[in-house]
Amino acid sequence: MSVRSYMTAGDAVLLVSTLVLSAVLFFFMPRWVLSGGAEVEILAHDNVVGRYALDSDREVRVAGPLGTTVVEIKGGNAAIRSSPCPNKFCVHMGEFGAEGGVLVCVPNEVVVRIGTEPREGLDAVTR
Amino acid sequence: MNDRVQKLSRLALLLALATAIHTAEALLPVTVVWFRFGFANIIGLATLYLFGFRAALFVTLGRVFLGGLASGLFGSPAFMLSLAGGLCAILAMGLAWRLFGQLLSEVGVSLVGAVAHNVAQLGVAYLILIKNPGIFLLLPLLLLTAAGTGVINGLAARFFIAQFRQVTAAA
Repeated sequence: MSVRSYMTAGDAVLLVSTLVLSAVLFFFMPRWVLSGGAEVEILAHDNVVGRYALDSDREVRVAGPLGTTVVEIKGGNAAIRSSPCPNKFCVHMGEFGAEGGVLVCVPNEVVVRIGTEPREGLDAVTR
Repeated sequence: MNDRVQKLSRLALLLALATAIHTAEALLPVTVVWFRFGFANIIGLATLYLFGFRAALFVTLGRVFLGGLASGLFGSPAFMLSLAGGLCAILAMGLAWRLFGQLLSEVGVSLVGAVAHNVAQLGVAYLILIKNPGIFLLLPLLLLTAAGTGVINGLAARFFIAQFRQVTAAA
């Protein structure tokens, strides 16, 4: 029994191209999908106050025990622009983009990070 | 027997079979079998070869609606997914059969259907359910499973078609 008794040449071409396409996409899909699709997650006192796409510029004001921390998302990067804390370490931490990172203001209990926490369970089920 | 009655009763049997397979497959535990085999598509494909495209469309739509009712998922996102998948699969298979019927056997046509089914489901899942482009990371994996299930279902359909012709010729 050869393969030919199971499928025609056309079938084989189709099967091989599907497998090749799948292999190619295995390499390229992460690059296409993960560029610019990232979200920043902002936490105040361990509670998530919001998730924001990195590709749209905005300013988020987060209330903490000391006052308002201003988080700025601009040009694909997130940074803490101003903070009521005494040392301003968080402001000097700079910025990060889709590659990932974290900004923390300990006195004002604000955390800015890439929202990539793995979720438990299934997203959806097909039937 | 009247030819039209004969055809109607045979199509009804195919539809019943497709619905039973569709419903049984919906009951498989997702934690173990995370992808769908699409065995119900065997019947859709066989109907395409035995009775033509319109009959196959009827059987496919019928089994999606009846299967939706049987599993209590009618109108749910899961139902929308199987509707989109089933519809795209049968359209793609009808087209492949019409255009490349000389080049492809049941296996090739089934492969086209399996790929169309998975791509359509992923697209609809993105549009109505998940809305996160990260879902397309699954595409290569789904193409891989489509290659496997497409070939298996194509061979099964070839066997089914041969059996069906043999039995109905004797009747």
